[in-house]
Amino acid sequence: MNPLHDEIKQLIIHSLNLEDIAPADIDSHAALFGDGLGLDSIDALELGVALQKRYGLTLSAESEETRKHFASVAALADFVEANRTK
Amino acid sequence: MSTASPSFTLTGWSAWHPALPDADAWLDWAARGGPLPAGDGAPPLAQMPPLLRRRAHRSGRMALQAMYDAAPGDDCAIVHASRHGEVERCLGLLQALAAEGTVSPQQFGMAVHNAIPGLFTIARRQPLPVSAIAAGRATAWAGLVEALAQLADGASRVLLVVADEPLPPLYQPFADEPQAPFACALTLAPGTQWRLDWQADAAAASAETAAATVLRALLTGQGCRWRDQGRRWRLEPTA
Repeated sequence: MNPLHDEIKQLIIHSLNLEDIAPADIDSHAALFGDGLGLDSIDALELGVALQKRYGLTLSAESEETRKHFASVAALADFVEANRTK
Repeated sequence: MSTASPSFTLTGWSAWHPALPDADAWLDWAARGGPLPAGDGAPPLAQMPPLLRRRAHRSGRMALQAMYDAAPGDDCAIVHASRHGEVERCLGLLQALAAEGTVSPQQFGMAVHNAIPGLFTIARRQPLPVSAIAAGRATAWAGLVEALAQLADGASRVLLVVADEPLPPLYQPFADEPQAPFACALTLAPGTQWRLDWQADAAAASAETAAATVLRALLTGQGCRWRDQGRRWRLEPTA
């Protein structure tokens, strides 16, 4: 188990009020939005704010890059690893 | 004046309060008189998909439970009347803004006055028209006026939702009426069962909440009067 994956799953569950979902229920490689976990655009904003606060990241809401980083927990973890300032 | 009074027929009702679990308990409360009891807790809202339910806090869950129980059809408009709306959520947003300078997009989105009926129409996949109203202590009456205006304008059914929760402790010094967590959903249709009228009146304000006054009248079949904000409201059965 990758500890950063687990940390990001906890952050997702906590910041998005995901009732009855445990970190183990989230597949690190499954889609977070749309068909996967079923999150929507408001969740994307919420998660973006949570990631900025926690890791000191800078995100651009419009960029195609950001879309790729938010594809899955694994993609987010790679992005956090490479860009975190705290 | 009575010739111009709008009228309606009540075709269904549902209500939620932590200590009044079913229709019999509500009818008993209405017949007994007295304010709504204090109470705490929120409805389970089991009908709503969890991914949407997580967005609703207590006041919204109460209103949503009443809406689910009312099960409006596709021809129904929704009028959502709440004096304070998502007041606990709004206070949290203001405190977060003061302390951190940023607010949660999710909380902000759900703090809008029409967010709860909007969430209901998304969950039910029913694109129903939604209006949201706040009008001080007379909020329930203003909701009734809006609902009757929509019936007069051709709506075949209007679901009038009235919901409020007690003010958070920080705002309690401003409380000017009994505080109880409560929501009701009244299905109104064109008809002549009940008649509403109002006129200017500077007499002393009624102590009970407008919402409890209106609901009791409809459940007991007995008319009611209510005064505040320079106006006297009257709801009477026509029979």
